[in-house]
Amino acid sequence: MATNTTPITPKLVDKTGKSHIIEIMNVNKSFGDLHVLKDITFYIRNNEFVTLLGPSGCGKSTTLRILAGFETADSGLVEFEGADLLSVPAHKRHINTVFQRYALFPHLNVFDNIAFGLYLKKRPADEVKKRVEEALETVGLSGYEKRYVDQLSGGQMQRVAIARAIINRPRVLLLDEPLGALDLKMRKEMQIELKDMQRELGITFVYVTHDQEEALTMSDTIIVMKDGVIQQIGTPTDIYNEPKNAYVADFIGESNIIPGTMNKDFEVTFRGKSFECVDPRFPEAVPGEEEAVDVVIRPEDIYVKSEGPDYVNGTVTSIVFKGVHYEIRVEDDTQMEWMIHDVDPVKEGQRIGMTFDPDDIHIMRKSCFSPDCQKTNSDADDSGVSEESIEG
Amino acid sequence: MMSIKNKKLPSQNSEIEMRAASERTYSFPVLASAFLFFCSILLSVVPTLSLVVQYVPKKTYSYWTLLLSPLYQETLPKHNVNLDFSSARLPLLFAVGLPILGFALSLAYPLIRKWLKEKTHFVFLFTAAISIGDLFALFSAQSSLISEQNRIDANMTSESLNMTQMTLGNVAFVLLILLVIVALIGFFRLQFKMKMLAYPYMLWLIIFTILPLALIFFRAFFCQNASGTGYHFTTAGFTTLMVERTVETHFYGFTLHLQEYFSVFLRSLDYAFWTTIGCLLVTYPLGYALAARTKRKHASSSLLLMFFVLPMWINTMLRTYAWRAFFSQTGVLNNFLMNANFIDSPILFLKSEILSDIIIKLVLINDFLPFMLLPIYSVLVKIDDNVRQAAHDLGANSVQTFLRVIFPLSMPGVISGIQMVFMPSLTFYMIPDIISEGSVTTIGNTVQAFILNESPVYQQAGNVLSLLLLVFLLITMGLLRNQEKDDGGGGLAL
Repeated sequence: MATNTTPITPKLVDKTGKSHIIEIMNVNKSFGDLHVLKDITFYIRNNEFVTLLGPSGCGKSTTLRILAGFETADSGLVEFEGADLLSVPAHKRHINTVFQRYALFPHLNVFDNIAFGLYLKKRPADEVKKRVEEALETVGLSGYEKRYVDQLSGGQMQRVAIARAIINRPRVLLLDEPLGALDLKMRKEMQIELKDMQRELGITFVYVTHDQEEALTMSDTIIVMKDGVIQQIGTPTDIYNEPKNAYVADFIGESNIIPGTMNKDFEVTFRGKSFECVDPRFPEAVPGEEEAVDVVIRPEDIYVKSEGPDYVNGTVTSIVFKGVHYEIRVEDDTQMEWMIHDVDPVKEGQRIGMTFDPDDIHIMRKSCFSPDCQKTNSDADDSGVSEESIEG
Repeated sequence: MMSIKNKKLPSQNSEIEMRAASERTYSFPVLASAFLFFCSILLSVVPTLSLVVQYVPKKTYSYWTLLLSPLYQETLPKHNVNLDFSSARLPLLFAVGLPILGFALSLAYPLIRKWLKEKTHFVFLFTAAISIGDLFALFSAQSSLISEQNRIDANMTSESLNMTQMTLGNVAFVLLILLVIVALIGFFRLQFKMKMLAYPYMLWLIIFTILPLALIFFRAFFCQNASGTGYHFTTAGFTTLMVERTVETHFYGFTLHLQEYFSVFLRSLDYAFWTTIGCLLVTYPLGYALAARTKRKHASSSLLLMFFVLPMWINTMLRTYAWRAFFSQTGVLNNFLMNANFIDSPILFLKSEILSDIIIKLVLINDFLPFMLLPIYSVLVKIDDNVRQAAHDLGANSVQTFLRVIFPLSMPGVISGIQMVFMPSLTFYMIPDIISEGSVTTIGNTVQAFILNESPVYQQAGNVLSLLLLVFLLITMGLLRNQEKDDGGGGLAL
């Protein structure tokens, strides 16, 4: 590619120094009174599997549609390999989309559906045939050329939709919740296949989903969004282990979020007990003054002991067998409910003590997503979070 | 018990419900028919018939008094005649007996229900039969009370000597009709199935579609005998149509010599063709714009659509006359053009062969517009917007998207639009007739003229022509249907 010979200096700071294929800067979008994207800024590295993760209505699909060219941004910049993307019409972008409900052409058979992009480019017939066969092989549907769309199952339709999108050899493939309509088993299979396909093809994938497990399985980078604001950007491990705020912690897997206070570095107090932790105090904290924080502890990071003065003590209210582990609910002496994942069973009504390793105690700033938050002051609070996450 | 089973009550409560139902043995239809039968019995006791002699009511009778009077006769001394009612004995017996039977049946319904078990609903059929029988009994009793011989003896007509029904007597008829209705309600309540709703339509279909088609087919090959009884096979209708007689016709300024009826057919085909093309050219962009608006605003465009359908609410004939008035020698258009000093003398739009031909086609297009617009719009509005975006995404510009995706997907709508416009416009003759003031003959005119002709041979020719038209339309429809299958592919299953 011509673009590879002249390296583009990324406008957005990236510690790894890898080249960016797409950079999105301060993009805003409103539908009527609804402000769906609020100053979105992030970059996508070359050949990366990026997932936009968030609940429905968080603006992830709108971001994707702006990249595809089906929506325009109200303000902000979108650059593709260093050149402005927003002025390029959808049909001239080197970006293809796999639609949520496939959007296959019902009047064409599988071959013609996949060959659609090549027909438009007026490629010779033998090249079209060869490339369609290649694409069908990539998605594992060889021999389905003559079928019509209504003769395919959901999974097969999805494969055809992917084959149709990759036949143009796009630089970026956008996938809008492509596995949403499939059953669980098929979804798991397709997750692995998609990841393999991405490695094989060397195309940048931008994937939109509301399923955190899907995001963790496939992505190189996850962008967590909420109400049109980016909450955190990071690798799956980062996002899972070091959530930036209570919202991310809660959205990515189950969490116990406990209000706590910090008086000094590496020590946090919650539920009336002090625990050692690995985080220092936040730089803006006033020395000597007590600072309110959120403490996040994953259910699987809690040790179940017998009652003791150094532990958080409570009574088991329920225990459910989940296959690999037991899901144990405990009400502590301050009437707060805890969730524990443990492989050893306990009895309902039993008194237990809970303790934690210092590096399993995650300290985060108070935000509007905290359980004891009174008012929503999202705009001021969240923009700070998103800027910070980009730098990190 | 049976009624419970038919009402499909949930089994958990069946015991309680069964007890409740057995207490409620007299359901509404049973009680209603018992009441109505009781009223009928009352009516057979009170005087409802009046004897009219020389247009003057003389005496009143009830059915019971007639039946019980020992001699069954009445003497009219002035007219020197003895009226003998004995011939009406049997219908009178039925007229008083049937309501009593019906009443007894209604009261005994709980017993009968146990006895009949699964066929309880037949009780209601029986009730209906009793009511209808009573109706007939009342009619025939009334008409047979005074014999023709009596009238001859008295030298009077049926108007001046008869037994008439009094107002109260008419109530009896109304009661009996109500009874039939109530009995049918009772019957269907026990035996109702959804498919029964289709029976009236099937009857309609048989009487007004299948039967006439069969008649056309029959009369195309068989002609009525000269004696008026029976039919014989003949192909005279065909020979009449295929007669070797050429006429001079004008098409687009050319003068052609064609076989008489072929030229008529060609003209109709010409109208139908241009009507279809014209409608398609007008409605497709219109339907496309309306569908795009509907999708963009996420709101129905039915109000806008209504403006195009609105003319359909006015009778075609009125509209056509309005068009004629618009284009006539002293019409709106000529007035306007003359007032604006564009022309000095009125243009004879309707008298000019070419101009009136164009006007006819315009009026036809105007008339058939909604039939093309609605199917095209409804198909276009159903096409998933994602499909259009997918085409864009794969590199198709707007024109390519339309030609390769939108138009092929809208083909089912286009085809049903063509079916709705081409078929009827082929045989439509009112508009050409009115606009051309009778100077243009279409195939519709010809069929009409043939059928209204007194000669059986021409009538047969009319049937033959109808049959040929039918075959032609069926072939066209078959061709379109195949086309639809090929192009539609998976249909619109998105």
